[in-house]
Amino acid sequence: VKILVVDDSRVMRQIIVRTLRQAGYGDYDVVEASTGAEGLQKVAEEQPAIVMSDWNMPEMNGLEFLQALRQTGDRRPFGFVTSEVTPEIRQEALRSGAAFFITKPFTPDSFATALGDAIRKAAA
Amino acid sequence: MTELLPDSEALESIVTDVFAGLLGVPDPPVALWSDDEPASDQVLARIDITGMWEGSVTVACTEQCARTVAGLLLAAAPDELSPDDVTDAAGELVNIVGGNVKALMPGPSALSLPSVSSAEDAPALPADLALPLQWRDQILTIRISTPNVPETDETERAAQ
Repeated sequence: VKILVVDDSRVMRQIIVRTLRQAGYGDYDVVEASTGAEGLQKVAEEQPAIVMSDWNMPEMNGLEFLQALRQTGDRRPFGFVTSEVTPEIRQEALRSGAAFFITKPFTPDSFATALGDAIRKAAA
Repeated sequence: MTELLPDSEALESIVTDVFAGLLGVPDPPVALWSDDEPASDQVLARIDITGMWEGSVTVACTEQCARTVAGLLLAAAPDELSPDDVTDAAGELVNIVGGNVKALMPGPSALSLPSVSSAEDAPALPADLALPLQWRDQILTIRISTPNVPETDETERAAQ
């Protein structure tokens, strides 16, 4: 089972991978992408079970990435890991079909809660 | 234009949450309540907020402090990090602080991408609010700058 992590910051991708391990997802294979466009390509190639994306990224932001993915008919769980913490942004994300919204700074617990719910809903 | 500024204690709380939550350090930075802002400008990480509230958030610190923070974020020895790692980590730090500052201010507004420079290349913006924080033997300063605010003695001192 794979998780795709999309963030333009290599440091943040590494932190997310470490936090996934701490949250109990160490058995998942993590695939990384540094842009939304690369994320779209990785979804097609790697077929991850879950996509975790940053919101603020150059060229294609996280919301545009989600919308582009949904336009292809893809419905896999997609969530944001972002420093955008306002309720308006959260609502926009959820309205656009995001399964979860994790704000920075995050903890392993916030990962476990968000991902657990997303996986349960996807399996139902 | 707005002259509204975030509360210093709220700013300190954001930094504390970042250090305790993301860096996992038990001793987060504490505010230095002094009239003289210590010199800490070697690395400047900046992010801009535009919209209903407009301003810039800058995290300024020494190269050593930036490297130590990057080491904690990457779980690596500071002297093993590349300059790109240090820059990337400083950008993430200001990205998170800036996102949380944005949430304190009237919206809607948008967050820019972070930029990181050395103080020699890009001197710090005049600050309307400067919060120097002591962390271990390092100083890092959070600065809030807004457009169109007349310079005062406080601003000039913070910019030094």
